[in-house]
Amino acid sequence: MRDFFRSLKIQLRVIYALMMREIITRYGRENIGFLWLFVEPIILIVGVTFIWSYIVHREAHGFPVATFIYTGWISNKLWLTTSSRVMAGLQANLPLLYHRNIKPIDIFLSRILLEITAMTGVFMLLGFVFVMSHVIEPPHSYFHIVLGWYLMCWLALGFSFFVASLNTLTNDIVQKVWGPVSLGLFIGSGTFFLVEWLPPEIRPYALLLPSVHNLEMIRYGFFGNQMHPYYDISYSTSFNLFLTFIGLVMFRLATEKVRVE
Amino acid sequence: MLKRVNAGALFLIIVVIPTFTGIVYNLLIATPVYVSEAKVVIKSLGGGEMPGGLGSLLGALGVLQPSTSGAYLVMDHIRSRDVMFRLEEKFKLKEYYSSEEWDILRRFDPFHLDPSYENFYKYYTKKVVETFLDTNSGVVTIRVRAKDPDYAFKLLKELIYISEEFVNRVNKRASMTALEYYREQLELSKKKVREFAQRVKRFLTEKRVVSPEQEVGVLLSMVAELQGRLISKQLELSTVTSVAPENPRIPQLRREIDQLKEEINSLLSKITGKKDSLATHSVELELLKAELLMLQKEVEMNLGAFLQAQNQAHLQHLFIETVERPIRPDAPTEPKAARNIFVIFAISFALWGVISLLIAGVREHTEE
Repeated sequence: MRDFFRSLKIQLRVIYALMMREIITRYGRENIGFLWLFVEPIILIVGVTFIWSYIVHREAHGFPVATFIYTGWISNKLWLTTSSRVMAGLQANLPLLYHRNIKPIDIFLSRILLEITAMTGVFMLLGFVFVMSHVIEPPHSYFHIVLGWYLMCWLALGFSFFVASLNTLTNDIVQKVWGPVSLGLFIGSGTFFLVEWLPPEIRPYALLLPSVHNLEMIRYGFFGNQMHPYYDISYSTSFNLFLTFIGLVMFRLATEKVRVE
Repeated sequence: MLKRVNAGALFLIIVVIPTFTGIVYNLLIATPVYVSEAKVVIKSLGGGEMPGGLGSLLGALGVLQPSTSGAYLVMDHIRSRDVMFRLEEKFKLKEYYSSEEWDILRRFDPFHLDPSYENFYKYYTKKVVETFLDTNSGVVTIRVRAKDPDYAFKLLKELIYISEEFVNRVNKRASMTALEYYREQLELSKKKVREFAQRVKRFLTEKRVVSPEQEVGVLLSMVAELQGRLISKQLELSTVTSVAPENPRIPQLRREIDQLKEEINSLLSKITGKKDSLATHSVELELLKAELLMLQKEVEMNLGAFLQAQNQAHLQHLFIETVERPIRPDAPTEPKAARNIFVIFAISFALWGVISLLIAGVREHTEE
């Protein structure tokens, strides 16, 4: 047991060091340096939120577009960007594996953690700023936002493992089709719709993606009772659990493959 | 070593202390809140919001449909200062919600900074009553929060009563304004006709005529007869003068002819004289009659409009129905302690993660 905790401590330190390394290698030390980690998504989210709400539409089906786009965009970017970063991560960091204490899982976890933390920071900061500046209404239920967001983070973790391992196993085929696939997932996950707007016969298909459930939860937290949320926490949780399991199994196979090579 | 201590302190400040405070507040300090809930639906004939005139068709058929605008009207009324003051009068709202029995976060104006009604109105709309509309079914949910179940229950019952009263008042007002207007118009035109008929009557009695055309006819036939007689007398005179110029009947005939002429002239002057002749009376009477006809038409039209308004007023009516009656809650449902504690922990934990990352990023700079 003590050995386990010692190993865990080492692993945490390794992950921390990898995160720092990632920050430095990605953004360097020039100008604002690692702050780009936050600034980049902030510019993007603020941009799309304003373009959608002030140029395209102010309201859709009686809902303020700013809140709608802000929640949808950032939530779906969270899990999709994370997995695409992780996918690109293993190949780029292969030389690091020559260190005895650095394992592929550390590379994965460090990238996932970094991405999730950055997006969460952006989500909180922008939420705070938007509410303070009356761009969006104050949330109705923090519980739903928090729960939806954490489930989304978990999805990001499981999905990253799954997709990155699949990519390694299929010799980078996933990465080649990733553009259209991620766009499809981005749209299909409800960035631009609420489940209640869909015709009833399509709703069950939309609700196959756990991200739709999570996003419905987050949006319900913001909109409150003016919307009809369609979510199932147990579905989202079990999907995440299953995906994480599959992801880890595939990850094992992928590391075997990498080691052989 | 220093790093670890700092990290621990950060975690303590951002995560442990808020979560612990949250636990203490939610489990030990927070006043249990009873929530009383009721559901009503506001209906109108045909709904009115349906596209393509379907609403008015259904309305004409007498189909009752949930009315969104009606629902918003009632919701706005419940969350108005007007209703707040009514409740204040009856239930002493402000006193109740500023009572010391409330915990400091739930209490109204806990530090006596702004006890104004404007401030209390904010509190009232945020913490005392909650209303929301289910746009799919048109059901309006009304919730009231209080620290005793009875108080919440009574307050909610009063609110339901107030909304019913409000709907009735809106109905009455809507039908009244339109109906009242058309009724007034109708009465006005009726009065005009009556007055005008009076004028015609006065005219007829003053001028001592009943029906100028017929009278003219009679007079003309009299004139014709007299003229006939005049012509025969004139013929007689001319024959008599040609046969016997000295005939003693001649002067008499001449007198008779003169008389007849005079008679005819007087009759004719009765028909077409300057003043008080039948011709002028008849023209005047024609004008009066035309005007009377016009006024009668006006009455007809106003009556039509009035009847239509009566139907329309019926169509505009809102109806309020209670879907779920208020029930006296038998257990406090707030605060949702587990939920709140989880939220505090989750948010502070995320905040800690982000801040640690930021700090670590900054440290990277100095280590060089």
